[in-house]
Amino acid sequence: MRANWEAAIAAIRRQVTSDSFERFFGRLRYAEFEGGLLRLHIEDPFLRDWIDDNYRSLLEAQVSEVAGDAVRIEIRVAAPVAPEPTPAPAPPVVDATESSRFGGGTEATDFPELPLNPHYTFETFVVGPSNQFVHAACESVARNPARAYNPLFIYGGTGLGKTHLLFAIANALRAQNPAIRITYVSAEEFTNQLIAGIKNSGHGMEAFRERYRSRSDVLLMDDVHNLVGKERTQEEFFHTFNALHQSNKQIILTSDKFPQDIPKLEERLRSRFTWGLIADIMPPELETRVAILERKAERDGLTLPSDVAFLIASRVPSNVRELEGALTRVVATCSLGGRRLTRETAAEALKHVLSETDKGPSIETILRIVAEHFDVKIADLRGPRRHRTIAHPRSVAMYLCRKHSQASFPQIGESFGGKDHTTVIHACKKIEAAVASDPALRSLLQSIERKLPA
Amino acid sequence: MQLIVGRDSLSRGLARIQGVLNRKATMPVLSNALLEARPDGSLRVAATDLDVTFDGVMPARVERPGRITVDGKRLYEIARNLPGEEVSITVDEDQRVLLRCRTSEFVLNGLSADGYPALPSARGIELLPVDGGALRELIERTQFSVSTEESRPNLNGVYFQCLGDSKVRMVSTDGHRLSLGERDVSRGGVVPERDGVIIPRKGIQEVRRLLDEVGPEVDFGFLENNLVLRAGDLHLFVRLIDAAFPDYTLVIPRSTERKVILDRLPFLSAIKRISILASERTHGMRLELTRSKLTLVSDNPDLGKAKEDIEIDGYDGSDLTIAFNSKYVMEILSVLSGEKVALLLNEALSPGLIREHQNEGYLFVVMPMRL
Repeated sequence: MRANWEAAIAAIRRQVTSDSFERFFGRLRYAEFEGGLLRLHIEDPFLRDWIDDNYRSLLEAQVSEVAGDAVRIEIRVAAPVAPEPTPAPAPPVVDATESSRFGGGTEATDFPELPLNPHYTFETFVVGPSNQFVHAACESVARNPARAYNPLFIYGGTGLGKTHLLFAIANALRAQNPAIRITYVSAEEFTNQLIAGIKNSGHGMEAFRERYRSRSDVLLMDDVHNLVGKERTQEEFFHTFNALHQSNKQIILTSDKFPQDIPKLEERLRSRFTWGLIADIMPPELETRVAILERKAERDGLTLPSDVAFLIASRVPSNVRELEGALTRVVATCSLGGRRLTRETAAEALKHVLSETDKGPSIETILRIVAEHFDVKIADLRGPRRHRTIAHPRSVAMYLCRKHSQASFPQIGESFGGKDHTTVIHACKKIEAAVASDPALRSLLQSIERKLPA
Repeated sequence: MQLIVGRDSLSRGLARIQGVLNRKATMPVLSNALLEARPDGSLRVAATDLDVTFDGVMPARVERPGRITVDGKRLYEIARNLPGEEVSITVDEDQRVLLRCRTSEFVLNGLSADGYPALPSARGIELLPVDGGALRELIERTQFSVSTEESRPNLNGVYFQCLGDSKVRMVSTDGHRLSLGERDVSRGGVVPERDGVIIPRKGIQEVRRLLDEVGPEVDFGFLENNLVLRAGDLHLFVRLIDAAFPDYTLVIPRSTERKVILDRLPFLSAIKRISILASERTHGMRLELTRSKLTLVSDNPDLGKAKEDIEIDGYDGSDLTIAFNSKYVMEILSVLSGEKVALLLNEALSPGLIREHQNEGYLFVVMPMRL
C-alpha cells in the first residue's frame, strides 16, 4: 500500500502548483494500512483539519484508483517525536479534592497533583468472571494510553471496584512514566471547580480550562452520571473531552449507569461516551467474593478460616466495599471480645452488621409519608387527639413502623409522643385484623408502602 | 434603594444588554440585570453571561443608594413601554422592585445583588482611542467565516492582532475558507503591537452591535483575558477564547498564476442567479475561465442547468475550469464595497483568492470543490 500511496501522491503532485503541494499534500506521511483504511500522519492539527475537510475525497479517489480497490483515508495528528521532559521531583501529596486551592492560585502550576492510593493496583484487584473483561480493558489502556480505547467507559454498581480500576490504570501509567500528568476528578468536584472558576472572574475559568485541557495527559473522571441536568458543566466537559480526545489524551470515565440510561445527558456527550469501549463490572460471584475476602485478610495479616470467608461472602451479596466492611467488623468484634474467629462468632457479629445495613425506612420517614398520604400533620400523629381522622392514620403509621422499620414496640411508642407500648401493639393488631377483611385498607397500605424507601 | 431616572436612558441602557441575558443558564441570576443606584447620582445598569459583560452608567436622582438584580428582559419591556418621561424605582427589603411612571405601577421580584457574579472592572486600566468605524469594517469583513463547529474551539472566534503602528489584523476561518483584514485603526495616539487573541463569535457580534450604536469614538484595551471596549460611560468586556489560533498562513497561497479583475456587483448578481439551480447541499458552481470571458455554470441533474457569461478584459493566462461553493463567494462579495474585485487562481485543486482591486487590506481564501 505504501507504493500505491506514493503513486497517488505523485499523480497529485503533477496536478497542483508546487506551492500547494508543499503546503498540503507533501506534509502527509504514510503511517499504516489495515482493512481498507489508510492512515496518514501530519504534524499540524490545523492542517489536518483543513486537508481532511477539503482534500480527503480527492485523496481517497486517487489512492483507490491506483490500488484498484476502495480505500478510505484517515488523517491523524502524529504524536510529537520529542520525548517527555525529565520527571519533576516527586509531587507533594495533597488532597486532590481540595477545591479551595483551586482558583485561588495565581498560576496554573498551582494545582495539586493527583495523590495515588498505592494499594489500588491491578495486582490487588481480584479478577473473576464478573470483571475479567473490564480488567483486561483497563490493562490494555494502561499499556497503550490513547491508542487502545479512548474513552474507556466503565460502568457498574457502587462498591464494585470502578475507582480501584481507575487508580490501577493511573498507578500503572505513572510507573511507566513518572512525569505523566494525571488528572483525577469526580464529576461532582468538576462541577464545584467549574462554579469556583466562574465566580472567580479573574483567572478562574482560564485556570480551570488550562488545568483540564492543556495540563492533563490522562483524565480520570469518576461518577459521570452525576453530570445529569447540569447543563453548563456538561457543556464545559464536552469541550474538555474534545480538546483532550483531539490531542490524543486518554480519557477514562466511570458511571453507575450505561450511557444510554443516564437521564438528562446531552446527546453529544452520550455519543462521545460510546466512541471508545464500554466495559461493565458485574457484582462478583460467590467464589470471587471469597477470593476478595481472602486477599484482604492476607493484606491485613489475618488468618481467615475458609468457612468464615464463605459465610461472610454469602451474607453480603453484591457490594465489595460492604463485603470488606463486614470482614473488618467480624474481625474487630472477635478481637475486642477476645474470642476466636469461628463460624459461630462471625455469624453473631454479622447479624449485627446485617441488621444495621438492613434497617429499612426510619420511623421519621414513615411518619412523613403517612402524614402526606392522609394529609394530616405529623404533630397530630404524635399527639394525643383521638378523632377518627387522626387516630386511623396513626394506627396505620404504627403498623407500618412495626412492619418496616426495625424498631421495637416501646421505641415506636416513644416516637409517637411517648405512648405506651401496649397502645402500639393494640394499633398493630387492629390493623392486621382489618387488613384480612378489608380490601380497601389493603390497597391503601400497599400504595403507602410503595412510597417507602426500599 | 430609591431613585428617579429618565425613561429613555433607562430603556437604552437595557436595550443593549438584551443579547447577554441568559434565560437558560445554570445560575438563574444570569437572566437578570444588575441595577446599582450610586451616591454620586448615577444608575449603573450591567449584565453578564460570564463571557460578555455590559456595564453602563446613566445619570439619575438617587435618593437611597443600593443594589439589586431583576429580570432584565421584563424590565426592558416595561421601561420602553412606560407612558411618562421619568421612572421612579424603589426596592424594598424583600427585594421587590417597584416601578412607577405616571399612571403605571409595576412590582418585579428581584434577587439580591450579592449572588451576582463579580464583574470585571475597567478601573485603572489604560484604554486607547480607536476608530470604531475601522474596527467595525474589519469585523464585518471577517466575522462571517468564523467556524461554528464546537469541536474546534480555537476557530470559534475572530483572531485579533495588533501589529504595531496602529494596525489591527483580524482573521477567521471555518476550514473551507479564510478571511483576513488589516487596517489602521488609530484615532489619535498609537495602538502598540500585541500578541493575537481570539474574540468569540458571540462577543464579536456584541462588539459590532455596540459600534453600530455608538459610532466611531471608542476606546479599547485588554484586561486579563478580556477585550475591553469603552464608549462614553459604557464598558463592554468580552472574554477571550482560551486557545491558540492556528498558523493560518499555512493555507494562504504565496503566489497565483491567474488573475482576473471583475466588476463586483455584476459578478455578485450573476452568482446569485446561478446559485438558484445549484445543489442545495453543496451550493457548488463551476467557473470556466478563458481569455475573453468567465462562464459560471450550475448543473443540477435533478433541476436543470444555468449559465452566465461575464466578459473580461486583460486576462492573458491559460484556460481553467474550477468549482467553488457559490455561497462562500457571494458572502465575500457582499461584505466588500469597492467597485472591482480580483479573482486570483492557480489550478483546479489549489485554494482561490479574492481581494478588493487596489486594496491590499483584505484577502479571502476559498477552497475549491470537486464537482
